[in-house]
Parts: sequence; C-alpha cells; structure tokens
Amino acid sequence: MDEDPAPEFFLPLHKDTLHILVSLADRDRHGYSIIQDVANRTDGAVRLSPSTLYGAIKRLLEQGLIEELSDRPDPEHDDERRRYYRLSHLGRQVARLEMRRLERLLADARATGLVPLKR
Amino acid sequence: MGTLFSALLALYPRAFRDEYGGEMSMALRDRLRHASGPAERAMVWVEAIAGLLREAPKEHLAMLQSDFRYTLRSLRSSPGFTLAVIATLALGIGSNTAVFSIVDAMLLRPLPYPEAERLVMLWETKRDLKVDENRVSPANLFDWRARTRTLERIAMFRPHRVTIAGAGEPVEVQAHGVNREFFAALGVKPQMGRLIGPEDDRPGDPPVIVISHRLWQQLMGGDPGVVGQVLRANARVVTVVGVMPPQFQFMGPEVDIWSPMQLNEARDWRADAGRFVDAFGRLKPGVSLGAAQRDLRLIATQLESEHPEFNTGWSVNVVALREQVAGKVRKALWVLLGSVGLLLAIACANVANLLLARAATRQREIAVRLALGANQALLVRQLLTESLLLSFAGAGFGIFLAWAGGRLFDVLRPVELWSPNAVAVDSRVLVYSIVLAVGAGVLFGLAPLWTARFTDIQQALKQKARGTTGNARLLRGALVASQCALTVVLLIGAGLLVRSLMKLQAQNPGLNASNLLTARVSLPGAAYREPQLRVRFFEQAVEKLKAMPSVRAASATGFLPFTGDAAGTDFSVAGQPSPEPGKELLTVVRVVMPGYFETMGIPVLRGRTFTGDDNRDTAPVRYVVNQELVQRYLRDRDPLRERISVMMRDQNPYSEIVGVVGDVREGALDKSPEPTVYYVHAHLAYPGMTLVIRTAGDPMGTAAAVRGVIRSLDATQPVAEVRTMEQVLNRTMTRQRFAATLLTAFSILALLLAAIGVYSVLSYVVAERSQEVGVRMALGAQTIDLLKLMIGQGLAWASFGLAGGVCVALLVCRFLRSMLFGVGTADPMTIASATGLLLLTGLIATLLPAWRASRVDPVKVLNQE
Repeated sequence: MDEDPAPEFFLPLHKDTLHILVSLADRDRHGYSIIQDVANRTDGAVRLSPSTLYGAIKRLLEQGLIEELSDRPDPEHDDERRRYYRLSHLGRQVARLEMRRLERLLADARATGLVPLKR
Repeated sequence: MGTLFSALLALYPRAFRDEYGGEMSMALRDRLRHASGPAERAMVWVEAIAGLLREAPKEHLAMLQSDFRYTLRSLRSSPGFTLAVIATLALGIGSNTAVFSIVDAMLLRPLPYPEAERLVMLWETKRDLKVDENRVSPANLFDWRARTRTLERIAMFRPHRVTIAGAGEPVEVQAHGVNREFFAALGVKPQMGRLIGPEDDRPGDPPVIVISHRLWQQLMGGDPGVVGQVLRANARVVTVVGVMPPQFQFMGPEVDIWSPMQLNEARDWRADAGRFVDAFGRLKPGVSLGAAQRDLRLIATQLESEHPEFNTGWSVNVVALREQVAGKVRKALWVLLGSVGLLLAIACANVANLLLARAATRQREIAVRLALGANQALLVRQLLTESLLLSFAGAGFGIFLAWAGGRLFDVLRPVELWSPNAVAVDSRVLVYSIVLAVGAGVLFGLAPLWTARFTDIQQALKQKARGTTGNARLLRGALVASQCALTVVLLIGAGLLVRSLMKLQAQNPGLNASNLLTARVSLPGAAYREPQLRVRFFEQAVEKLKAMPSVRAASATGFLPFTGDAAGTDFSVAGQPSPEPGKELLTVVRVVMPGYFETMGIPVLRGRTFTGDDNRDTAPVRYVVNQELVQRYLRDRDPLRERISVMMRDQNPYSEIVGVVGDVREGALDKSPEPTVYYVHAHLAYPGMTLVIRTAGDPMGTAAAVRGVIRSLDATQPVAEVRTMEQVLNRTMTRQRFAATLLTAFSILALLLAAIGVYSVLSYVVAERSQEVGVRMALGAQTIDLLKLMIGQGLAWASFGLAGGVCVALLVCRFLRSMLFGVGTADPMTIASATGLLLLTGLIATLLPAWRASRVDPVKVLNQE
C-alpha cells in the first residue's frame, strides 16, 4: 500500500480549497452547508458555486484530504441523496500547515511595515 | 429551472455527472431557496452557470490527463510493441507527408507571383499538327496585343545562353531575352535597382541587363554597388540595372540574366522570320481562361485571313501558367499520392492487428463491461487516447522523415520536376499530417472495440486467458487479407511503370550513346560576327579534338537530339506543286558539321554525308535528310534524285539531297521521329554549337582536355553543359524514372509490412492454437500435417487478398494508361509476377510460425490445461 504523501506536498493551497477545509474543521457537512458556512464566515466575499465546490470535493477526496461519511448525522431530517464530508487526519494536518505558512507571511509583512503592527 | 441546470450539467464528463450531478442540483436549489430576492436569485444563477462553464472543461482535461498517464505507463511496459507501432506509423504517415509536400509545392500552392491565377502561357497551334504548344511569331504577338480585350498584358521571352565576362572567369549562363512587358506582367519587384521597361526595349536603346541573386552573389561577390556596373555579355558591353530577389524563378531554375529583346515592331517579321519566341499574358481581372481562349482564337482567325501565306491553319492555345508548370507531372504525382495512401492503409492494418493481439486479454474485460452497461463513451475514449498517442508519436517521426525527404528532393530535383515553389513542410503540410494521424488513430484504435461489441458475453467468459473471441480472429484475418490486396495493387502498379521504363530504355534511340561526350560552346555574336569566323572556329576545334589520342571521332551540331530543341520550317519538292497555305510540308531543321553522323553512330542508309568540301559558304547547298522525311514525303521516289527548297534562309534555291540517314527521335524516346533536314554548318552558321566527341574510354575523363582545346582557340570562351550522351538520354526519362522508382519503393515497403502482418498474426494464431496442435500431435499428426495446417492458414489469407487485389488493380491501374509505354494496363506478365511475389513473401512469412507450431511439445501443452 502506498504511503500518504507528506502534508507539505499539498502546499500552497488554493484559497477555495482552504475555505472548504476550514469549514469542515469544526464539523461534518454536506455540500450546501459548506457553501453557506464559507459565505457566512467571509461576509459574502467568497461565494462558492456548486461547480467550484464539487470540483474541489472530487479532488480533495482523491487526495485523501477529506472523506465521505458512511453514516448520516441526522438521517430523519435530511434528504437521503445528500452526502456528508469530513476532514481527514491528513487534511487537518495540511490545513494547519497552510495556516502556519500564512501566519509567517503575515509576520513578515508586519516586520517590513507593509501591514501595521498588531497593537 | 432545474431542467435547465440539469441540461447544462451535460457539459461535464458523464462519470462526474453521475457522481455529483444530483448534489450539485440540490445545492443550487438550496441556494435559490435561501436567496433574499429576485436580484440575489439572479446572482446565484449567474455564479452557478459561470462556475459550470469554468469547471467543466477542467474535468474533461483532468480525465484526459489521467488517460494519458495510464496509456503512457501501459506503452512503456511493452516497448517492443510500442516501437513497432510507432515505426510502422512513422513510415506510413511520413511517406504520405513527403509526397503531399511535393504535390502541394507543385500542384496546390499558388505560384509565387502576385495574382498568379491570372497568368497564362500563349502558344500557337497548327490544326493538323499534333503539336499544340508551338512558339509564337513576334508579328502575331504584336497583333494579339493590339486587338485583345481579355488580356491586360502580353509578354514575350526567349531562352538563350550568354557568356559573361568582366567579373572573374568568363562563364556561360542561361538567359531570357524579354520584352518591356515581361516584368510588368509578372508583377514582381527587384531586390535592388530596377527592372527592364519600355525605355530599354526599343532598337538602339542602351544595352542593360537584370541579373539573378545567385549570379550577383557568385560572380560579383554580393557587391552592394552592383547597380550601374558594366559587364560584357556575349562580348557586348552591358550595364547592370537591377538584381532579382533570391527566390525569383520563372520557367526554369537556372536563368541568371534578363535582357531586353529590342525587337523592331515596325519590321515585317512574317516575311523572313518564323515562330521563335515564348509568350505569356496576364488576364484582365474577372476574365476567365475560356474567354481569353475565345478572344485570341477570334484574333487568330482574323490574322489567318489577313496573312494567309503565314497563318493559314494556325490558331492559339491559352494554358494556365500553373498547368504549364505542373501539367506533365500532375498525373504521376496524384498516382504517387494515391499509392502512398494505400501504404498508409496497409500500415494501419498492421497496427490494428498488433493492437488486437495485444488487447486479446482485454477482449473479455471489454465485453463484460459493455454487457454490464459500462459507459461505451469511456471505453472509446480510453482506446482512442492510446491509438492517438501512438499515431501522433508516429506522425512526429514521420514529419521529420518527410522534412528530410523534402530536402533531398529539392537538391536532387530534376528540371522536369521543377516548380517555382520549394518543397517544404509548412503549415498546410503539417495540417495534412495531423489529419492523417487523427484518421489513422481512429481507424485502427477502434478495432478492439468493434470486435468486443459483437461478442457473446458467455463465449467471452468461457475463453481462456490467452483466448481470442471469434470476431477478433475474423477481423485479424480480414485485415491481413486486405493488406495483401492493397500490396498487390501497389506491386502491379509499380510493375507496370518499371516495365514501361524498361521498354522506353530499350528503345533504339537511333544513335549510339555510349562513350559519347557533349559540350556546348556558344560564341558571342559580337566577336564572331562573320559566319566564316564561326565555321572556322568549330572546324579548328573539331580538328584539334580528333587529334587527341583518347578521341575516336568528333563533330558538332546546333542542338543535341533529345533536348527538345530544334528549328522547324516548311519545304517544297522540285517538280511538285507548291502546297496550299496550311498544308505545307513541315520538317525539323538541324545544323551539323562533317563527321556528325559517323561520330553519333547514326546509320547512313543512302548516298553520303557532309564532307569538308561541303563545309564552305561558297559550296553549293546540299542536304542530308532522314528516313522519316523520305517515307512521309518522297515515298516511291529515289530521294537522291530529288531537289528540295527549305525555308530557312533569305534565299532558298532548290538543292540536291546527297544522303539519307537513319531516324533519331528528335523530341523524346516515346515520340515518333520527325522528318528532318540537315544543313552543313557553313550554310547555317549558328554561333552556338554542341561538340560531340566519341572517346576511347570514359567520356568525362576527356572533359578537361576539351576545355583546354577551346581555351587554346579563344581564352575567353567558356564551355558549358559538359555531359555524356547517356546522361542526356536518361534525362528524357526522368519523369518516368521518378514515378517508377518511388512506386517501387512504396511497393517494397508494402510487401514488407504485409509480410510482417502475416507473420505476426500467424504467430499469434499458433500460440493460441497450441492446445489444439498438442491434441493433434497426441493423436498422431505428423510435422508435415501441422506445417500444412499453418501454412495453409497463412496462404488462405494471402490468396483471398490476392484475388481481391488483382480485381481492384485491373480497375485502378487504368488510370496509369497515359503514363505507360509499350505495356498494357492488364499486362499478364506484370500481374503474374506481382501475385507470385506476394505468394512467395506470404509463404516465407508463414514458415517460421508454422515451424514453431510443429515443435510444440504435446505433453507440455496438454499438462498445462
């Protein structure tokens, strides 16, 4: 069996991909839930279309960064055609690495005066 | 709305659509449901559609990349198969591309002159002659120009040779004398200076020349101050006024000088001159060739009644310039393109068979997947990705082969296959190549799918791992048979052309061409104005040549036979009524020195030939004629008692015929001889003569000595066109040899491919039927029985193919009729040889697999089951 590639292999992440991973970080979601969550957190600045979302989901599944759930969180109150996705262990590592990369970038920007220092 | 989005989802690959389409529709529905108003709903729709249009192509690309990677891995794991396929396709596509690039340059690409489709050649033609491209009389041309309503310009030119001195060693080059309209009609511009125009073309205007780029570079070192420089052309002082661009060619690749003809338009050219210029014109915009033809023919009719003694029976022939350049080789080129297309079909059949054999283990898989409702489009895509990848790889190498072939062709290109366009692998040729690659890839790529579609699922499941479905076996056999059929067609076509060429070469030319050296010496008119000077020069040259130990005989002639050049005129026989205008007795006229017939090995049939005493301008005019003239015009009479008057000079008294010689084919080997009258040099003192020298050994070994002799008589006189008579004869067959050589090469390739096809398929069948063979051997079958079984199988395919191929060949080879000489299109010997060769090749190809079958160990094979 092939080993998973190292998390660094996936960096840098596309911004839409990062938003999806962040959205799945706190709980498992179905597709529309991800779209809503991303729109809410960014105050409507990032609006994922169904095409963008599911293209990314397909890739993330192939890469092993997310997994499809076999159980439904709430089977009685939901359309059985919906599929739910969860952030995998690898996906969580990759997302964390990406956030650290962005933090370093932000720190560099503050050091050069591009961005005001945090008070 | 939902229906609309579902319809748009069709843009995605089916696999993606099946997997995520439902969820995407739900997500869109949820977004629309939570939209705050019509404006936001509209926004949601716009984003959804924009996203779809952006992402769907990416999915297709991702799938193609995945197929591509899979295919590459698969091909890398069987390098022998991959190389065999790519090599086969490279051969097939490469040869097609090469021939197409030649066809494109010669037949399809426009000629490199502005609005070249409006350029036409103009010929005079005589109704009862078979020649429909006769040179033109300047007087007639001036009248055409004055009266035409369909041509905006009419130009004339006259090929001749010029000795250039004043820039290094004197050198003889080809030249065109042109009139004022020549360059204007072509519409070309010079690279430097100016072109010949009205101010240069009147008699007495200062003599000027325009030179070619090549001459400028080679003779004058590319001197930027060339315009205005003075040279001596045929001992006359001329000024260079312009240089042509490097690529410029017109009616021949070798012309280096253009000079004004300065013909006096007021002179009555019909009175004492014949038809000696070449002419072309530019149609007015929107005027058709047919209209110009009718227009000029009408003018010709008027001229016929105005000048009956000169124009009775004469008309005009208008030929598109493109047709003039390529017309003679058009058929040969299309035949070659067709042949090389057959070769590609054979190559594709080979590749299809290789793919089928390789995919045999996948037959079951494909059949099962199809039966279980697998996406046929997906399978087709996977098969096509593999075949197109192979096809394009083959095409890549093939294009390189074609490029190399094109370079070789341009270098070795004989003059008969000249066109002003260079052979190049340009964008049109590349597109052709790509179309071929795609077509070939689709053709052979779908073979495994075709067989799998019609496979019974139960049968497929029952087959062993190495088994093949019955349909695949049938298809493979059919492919091998078709390869053999196409190969037979090519073999028969090539055989016909080769036999035709051999018959042509076996034709008796009427002279003995072996050990005969020829060399052209053109004395400049200005330095050798007096005819006696010219006669004396050549007499001395011939004497000196005859004195050389390596020379058996020497003489000279105005124009060599088989070069297509000769003068012609009419004559009358003393005591016979003058023929009516239009029914003149016509003859070719040649000028020769004493000893010519003996040197050339032309038999003397009656009387005698010219002697030194005849070669004096004070001697009476005497003629030697050929057998054809006697048979045509002096039948049942003794020619040595006849006197004829030949219209070549100002005064043409009736003069005796002193000898009759054998016929020489004036124009070409495959044309009948023309009646010919020979003058001795003193009575038609051409300044340019071709020396003919019969040598003891290799003729080219004497070339340097010949140059030495001429230089000793005149240090400034160059010698040109030094070649053997055999080379001259061979040139007349260039077109035929070109077609025969290429078609033979294609047939040999086809035979090889067909042999490989038979061999590989039979090998596979042997491996497949090893169990059956084992059982037979266990039951007592002898080696010979097994050999007969396998060889019989191979020959059965070949025979089916042969029968079909011969039928097709009989139909198709009829198109070759005009290219053949002395051979019919259904020549039995050719057909027999071709079928014999194919059967023999098929037999050889079956031997190894059949022998392998006979070596099967029945115990081992039966134990394996």
